[in-house]
Amino acid sequence: MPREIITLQLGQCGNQIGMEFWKQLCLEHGISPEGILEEFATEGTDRKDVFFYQADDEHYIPRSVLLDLEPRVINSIMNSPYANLYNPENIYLSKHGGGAGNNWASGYSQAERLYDEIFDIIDREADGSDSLEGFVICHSIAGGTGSGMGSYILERLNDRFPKKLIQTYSVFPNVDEISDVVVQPYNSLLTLTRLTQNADCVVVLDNTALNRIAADRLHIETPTFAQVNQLVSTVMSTSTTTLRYPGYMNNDLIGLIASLIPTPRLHFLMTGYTPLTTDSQVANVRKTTVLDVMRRLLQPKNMMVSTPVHRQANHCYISILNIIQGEVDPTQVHKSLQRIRERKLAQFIPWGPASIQVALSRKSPYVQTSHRVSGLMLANHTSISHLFERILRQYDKLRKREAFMDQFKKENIFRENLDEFDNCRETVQHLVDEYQAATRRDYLSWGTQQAPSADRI
Amino acid sequence: MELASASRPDVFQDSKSAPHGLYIQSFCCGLDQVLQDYRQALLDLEQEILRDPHLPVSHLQYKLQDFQLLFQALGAVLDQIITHRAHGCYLLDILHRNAVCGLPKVKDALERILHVCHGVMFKQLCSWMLHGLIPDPNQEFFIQHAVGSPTDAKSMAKASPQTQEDEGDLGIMGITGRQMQALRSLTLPDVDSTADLTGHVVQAELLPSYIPLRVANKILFVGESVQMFETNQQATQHSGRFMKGREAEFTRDIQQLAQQPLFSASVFESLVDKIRTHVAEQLWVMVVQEADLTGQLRVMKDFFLLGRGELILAFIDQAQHLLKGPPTGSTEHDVNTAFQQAARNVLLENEAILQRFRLTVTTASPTGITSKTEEKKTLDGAQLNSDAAVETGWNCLGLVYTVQWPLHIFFTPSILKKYNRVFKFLLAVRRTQQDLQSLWSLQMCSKKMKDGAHPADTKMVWQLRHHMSFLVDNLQYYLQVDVIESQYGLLLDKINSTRDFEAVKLAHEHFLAALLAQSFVHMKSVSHCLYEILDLCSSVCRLLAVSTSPSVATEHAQLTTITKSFQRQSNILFRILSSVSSHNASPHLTQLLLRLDFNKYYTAAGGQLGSYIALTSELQPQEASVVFTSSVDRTKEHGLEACAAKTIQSA
Repeated sequence: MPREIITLQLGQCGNQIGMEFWKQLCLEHGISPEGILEEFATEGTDRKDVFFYQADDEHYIPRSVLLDLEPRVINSIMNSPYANLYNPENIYLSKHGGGAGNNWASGYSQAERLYDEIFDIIDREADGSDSLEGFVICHSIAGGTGSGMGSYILERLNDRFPKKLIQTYSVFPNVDEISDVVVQPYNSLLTLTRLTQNADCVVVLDNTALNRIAADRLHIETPTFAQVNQLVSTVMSTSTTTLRYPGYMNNDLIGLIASLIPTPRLHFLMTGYTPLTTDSQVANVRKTTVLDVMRRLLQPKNMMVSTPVHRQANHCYISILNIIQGEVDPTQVHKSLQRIRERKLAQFIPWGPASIQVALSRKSPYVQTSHRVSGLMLANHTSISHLFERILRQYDKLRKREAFMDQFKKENIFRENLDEFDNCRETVQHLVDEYQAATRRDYLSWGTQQAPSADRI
Repeated sequence: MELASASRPDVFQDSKSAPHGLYIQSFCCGLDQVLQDYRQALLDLEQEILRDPHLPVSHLQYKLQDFQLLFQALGAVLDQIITHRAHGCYLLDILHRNAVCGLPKVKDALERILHVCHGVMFKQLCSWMLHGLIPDPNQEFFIQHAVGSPTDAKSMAKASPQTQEDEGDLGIMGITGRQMQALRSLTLPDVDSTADLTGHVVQAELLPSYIPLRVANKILFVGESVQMFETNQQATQHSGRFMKGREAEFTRDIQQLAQQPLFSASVFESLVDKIRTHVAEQLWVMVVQEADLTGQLRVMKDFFLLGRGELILAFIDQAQHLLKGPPTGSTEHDVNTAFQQAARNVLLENEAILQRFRLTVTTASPTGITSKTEEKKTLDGAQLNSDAAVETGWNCLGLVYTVQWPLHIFFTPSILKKYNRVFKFLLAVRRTQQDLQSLWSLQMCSKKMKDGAHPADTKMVWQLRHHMSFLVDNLQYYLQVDVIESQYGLLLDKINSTRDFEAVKLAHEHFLAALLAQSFVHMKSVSHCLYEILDLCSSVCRLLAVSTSPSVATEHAQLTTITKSFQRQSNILFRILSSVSSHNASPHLTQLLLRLDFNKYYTAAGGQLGSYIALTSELQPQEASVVFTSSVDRTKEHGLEACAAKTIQSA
């Protein structure tokens, strides 16, 4: 019972990061772009079956479903060396190929219309696994397909597979540059609501931070999509490493995320990675001990979510999981924890127990890295609410002017009224409030203060 | 002449345990040699008397003066031999003791006798150390085959309390005399392990006092190792080259030593050391290099110490329905099938290794232990014990491993028993963790609920689960990273840094001892507390598996009871951990505390976890249901009060 995980890649961005993810997995497991196990990898003790299955001819096929409403990215995948990796039946392109026009509502209603076709693929894939553990969705929340279609699929997955986990890798838009998607705040808000209500765990990948990291840390002046996506695929592959390389802990998705999420709504995770390098860059050799890695992971500059650093709000960690790979002396873990605690390097919630969990994981033997130790941090931090607030602010600005509403009103869901927008705003506001409440000692009574008033209304 | 005749063995023939054997014979020979001087002196005197008939008596007295002293001493030795019924090597001890004497003649004579007797010992030593055989028909050598029946009886007697104790570990602590059993099991294995091996022991009563016990143990080790090769059929390819052609060299050394007129303990020991070092290195080569010890250790870690987490996960899934209830006759077979199935599911390639593992289900005997459980559970909460009173299959589960030659000298049954104890504890932790995780996924369903629709107590239940899984998760991390991984690293370092089998074996024993100590299996107070906590976590999971928030008043009452017990137990744990942390005696307690109290919440909360405060705890059950339907606000207020009270407390 391998606890399989099905990956859904939605839209342009979802397919791009998905492709990078599979590239990375193939590399780590010694699978060729055609899905054939390389000579040198036949003796491995890794578990490929969580993310791959074997076809009749022993080819490894990703448990992946590729969905898009416009052909550009999927075509580029089909023209890449990895074209034959995927199961062609799992690739779905809408027939008209016109995309969702960066409109959430369009993506949502198109997905509604394509329900049967999409869920045929997903059902088939789910039936093909012995004990499906859950779904991983890659998408962006700003565009049309990933956000709109993603929202719809999230809702339906919940109905159809109520017992399966849903984890998403959600790319949040870059706020530093002027986006060509003017309705981005609308799309983000609507998607964020679904992520709050329908996903079990959302790994937030903030494009702002990713670009900043690429520019500052990797010294790339104008980072390309590929370079940024490589960062994402590193995060994705490292966070699944304990599932793929059997160890003593976190051998299933639930074990990985359950400890990070104390209450159901607070399930948005930040990531951090160290050391950061790209292909083209030869890593400058640094001293890497467990403490170094853990200390660097706590530095905001290595976080893949950008949050303004101001101190008045007392933001704090709700939980932390560090996955450390490489040659690690396990006795160092305790010492590092001790040091971090002494130096008060991390601020934790006051209303419950919290600690840094450190999982030591094996590394792929086929990928050579120049650094001895690398680490990924998955953290539940209250300052992530800044990201949501930012979306709310931008949304309010647009909404005040009723800007670009026509496109949305065209679709079913908004034809009658715009209540959906108001509901979503309320949900996201509530999420922000909850995260802020989580910084305070009285968080536990916070929900209960709200409840009676709601009852009275 | 009297003396000479007295020393003849036939004198003793009528007595019951007549001294017999090689040593007494060689003693006679030696005595004869010494008396040769006397005879010679008599002959000389005879000649003198013949030559000079006027020789005075004083001349005779003068000539035989020395012998008077000597005969007295020899007579004393003989008396000792007779009274002590000295047998075998003990004879050497008597001779040696008496040879410590100020009279040169006596000293010299006794040393000569001793030398003759040593001849026998060196012969036996040589054949034992080089071939693993003792040509010892009369049981005289200080290394003896352990007498069969007593050891068997001992190990039998030991086996039964051991299993009982293991079962006791899982469910219930606080059994009187359990500590005693633990102590016994600690002291016994040493005797046991040697007996298990080849059945040879150092006979203390035969060991001459001038050969230290440590040297004797080295000799024992060498002989046993050699014997293992000589007698084992599988070893045919090994035997012969075990000594690597150094037999001749060692034989020569031993012979040289035997010819030395004076026995020197230090020279003797250095020779023994030389041979032991060689044998230990050969064993090391064989065990570590040829039998791939590190690979085997990895296997032990993967299975017994849950190193292969995904296998255990798959197994728990497979066997959950088999082991939920009390075990039946077929459970063991079913569980093993499930285990094999799980292994296949996670694509475990090495079928051969898998075949060597077998799960056991030891059905608990209905002894005082069970009745005590029930008593205890009733105290904790009447509702809890409905299904906990009967031992579930999980609690009876154990793991056994068939060790392959030549690693049986390394993984002895007593060692495997220790592994099994750690396994049982780790499995219990792992299972509880999984229960809590499935409760988590149930609770996650409420993310869809409309905002603010969570009743106050739902939040409290989340909190309770959060605290429980925090404790269990961190315990798990502590056990796996701080204890197992760290100790395993140390063990591998040691194995790689030496070429001595015995050092490796010792390092492994240290490793296991550290595991048992640091996983608190041997620390009754802590392990009891932890098992209680695990039990409580499982109870909550069972209770809430039906509905994520308590709906019925009885469930409320149960949840309150569980919460209170959890608070109490976590408080006990906190106090134990923090009280010990003040001194350096057991640093691992501090390590666990660091993880549990990382953000100092544990301390701030007064050293207890689990803040579920049942809102209706003060109310009667029949009233409670009314409260839930009608006055929602009132319950909410209760919740607030309770929370406020808590906040004040922690502040």
